[in-house]
Amino acid sequence: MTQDESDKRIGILERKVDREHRARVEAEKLLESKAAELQKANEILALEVQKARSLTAAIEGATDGIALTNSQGNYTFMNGSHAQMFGYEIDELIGRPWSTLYGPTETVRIGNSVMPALFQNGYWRGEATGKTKDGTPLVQELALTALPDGGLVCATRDITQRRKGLMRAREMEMALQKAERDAALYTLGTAVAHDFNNLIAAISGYAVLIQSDLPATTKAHIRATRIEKAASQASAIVRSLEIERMDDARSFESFDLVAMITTGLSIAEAIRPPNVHFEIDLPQTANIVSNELTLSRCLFNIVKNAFEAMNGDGTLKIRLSKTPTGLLADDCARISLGAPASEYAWVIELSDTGKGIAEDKLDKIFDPFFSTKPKFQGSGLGLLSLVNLVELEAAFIEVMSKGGTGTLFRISLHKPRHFARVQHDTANLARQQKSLTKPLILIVEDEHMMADILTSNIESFGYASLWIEDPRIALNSISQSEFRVDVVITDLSMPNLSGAELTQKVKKMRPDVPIILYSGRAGFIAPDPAYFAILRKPISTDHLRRVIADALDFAGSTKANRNDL
Amino acid sequence: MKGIVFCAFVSFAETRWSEELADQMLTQSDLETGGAYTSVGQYSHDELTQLSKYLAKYTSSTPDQVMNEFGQFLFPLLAEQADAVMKTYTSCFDFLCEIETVIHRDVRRLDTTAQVPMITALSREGDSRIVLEYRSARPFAMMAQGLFLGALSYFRMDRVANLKALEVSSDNTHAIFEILT
Repeated sequence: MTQDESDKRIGILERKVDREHRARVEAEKLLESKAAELQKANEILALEVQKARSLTAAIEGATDGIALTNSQGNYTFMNGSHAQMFGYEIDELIGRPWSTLYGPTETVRIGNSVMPALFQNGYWRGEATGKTKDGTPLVQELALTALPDGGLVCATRDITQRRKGLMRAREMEMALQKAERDAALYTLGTAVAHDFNNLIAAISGYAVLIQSDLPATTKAHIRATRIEKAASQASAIVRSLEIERMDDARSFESFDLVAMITTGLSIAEAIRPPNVHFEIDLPQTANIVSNELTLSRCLFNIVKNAFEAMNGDGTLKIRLSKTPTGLLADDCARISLGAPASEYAWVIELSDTGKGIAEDKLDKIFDPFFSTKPKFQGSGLGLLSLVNLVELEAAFIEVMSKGGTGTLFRISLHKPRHFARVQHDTANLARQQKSLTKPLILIVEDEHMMADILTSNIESFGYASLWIEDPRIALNSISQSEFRVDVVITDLSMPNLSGAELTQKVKKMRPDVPIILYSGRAGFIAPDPAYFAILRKPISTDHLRRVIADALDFAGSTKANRNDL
Repeated sequence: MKGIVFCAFVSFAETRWSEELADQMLTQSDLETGGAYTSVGQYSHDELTQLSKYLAKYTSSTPDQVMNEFGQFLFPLLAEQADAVMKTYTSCFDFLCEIETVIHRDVRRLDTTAQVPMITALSREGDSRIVLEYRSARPFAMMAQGLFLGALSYFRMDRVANLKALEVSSDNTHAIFEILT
């Protein structure tokens, strides 16, 4: 190779090396740039992976069932909720067709109407009835979405319980409506019957007294006899008008208060004004033995009144706990109904942010037909359900209200079969009795007129009588060992303690004392050996005379037997 | 256009003619890049046109002839790089039919910036006749013809097959070729 050729060759190689050097520099720059891009892509990928993991965890942890199928309709993915909903393990369903989870009829329906709509619109929403592993029907809410590869995404929720809950709410709503009607009729009927019976008893009683004051041949005696007969007929007519209270309004059963409140609120939802909101504080469950229907009526009526009191805007708080909260406000007006206890099974509190109840009207809210609402907008019977609850000895009721702040209803539910004990000093009564030599008949009656007639009749029979208006005082007196009584005659319907309750308590302390119970509703009193006799108002004088005489004989023979022993 | 094509073209010039001619081509073509190509780079296809024109001028041939020969030179290099894919084909016509639907589809997947031409089989009669269409934004119909010839050689059909351009647009962006065996 000549020098020229060598120089030329070297020149070519130098330029080649130079080009390659520049190419390498460019390549390194390019590689750096690509490496940076790759790094960024890796970071994005890592974020996407994290996101995908979070989504997967969310899907796995979702309470709704989520599943994927391929174009053949076989499950390729499923979260735990989906499999558990149908009673399977995930592995048991992966690779199997969706029809595994449906009965033959539903499979045909889905195949013929759901799938065509799904693949035409890209999605389908609706309900279907699946079949669990053990064959139990499962009502599901379904959301299906078609995938580009011919498969689908299925999101589902078990609404079997919701369906049952809705059905239960409908049944409860109907039962409530019927109970409200029955209660209104019962209240009206018994109020009229009670008042009329008292008047008829007075008419009849005074007619008998007139007869005894006059010779039988006088015109006035004959007229008094006719008055007594007319009164007797009137009494029979009133009795025929009495409306029997439904058994389910008195029965006690075990139930979950939380389920009852939730159902009640779902019913009340239909009449909830849009700007009235619930604040609910309930435990998981709260079992109790009480009267569910009456309690439901109480809650529904309180909630309904609260909606109206809030005039379309406010908050209704519902709290269920073992212990009550404090006062609604320091200076709020308060009333109570029933006997308080040292502890309760559960306490339900409902407080609204309405206009409140005026203090002068608060003590009338439990009166039948009393209403604070405008004319024709309230029957005045709704809160009688609370009175019913107290009559059943199921609860102690407190109502607190303050104008401009709202009203709090507190229903403290008694533990099963609570009995209030009332103590009174009866020493004075006992001292008065020491001078008596005649048989002593104790009259327990809150109606003065009825007590007056009974006293007159009993004294005309030649016995001594003692009238105690308050049954709690009567009970306390009888509980004293020095208190003497030969026969007790008591009304059934009295405030604080009914005649039936009084009888039960007296029998525990003084089983040898005969107790005669009377009522305008005597036909509805269940026979009980505790009662020596059950009399229906108005009571005829002769009948009363015979019954008291028999009772005294019975008491005498009982004492004699005891002495023999 | 991918740098691998430019590197191959330089190698083609050195191999087919000489390092000296390749050096002249790169230093005298007034290239924007100065001829410093790397296989991972991306360059304007105009430089390839400039290079082919230079070679044609100094080798007493036409740019079309240069590009045709370059296509034949390039095919084995590309086939070597895609050896795994090429081994799946035993029929040249099957391969040619799937350039668009399989090869170019995968190229686009791997490199979203790749601008490959469209090679479509317009008709095929077994292994006796096939009509192929080339369509591109770049004027490299003759390079495509050379690549087809390279493919026939790769599948050892170069002695039994006859390739003919039925139609070539004046700007070399569109052409229809027929291969008869």
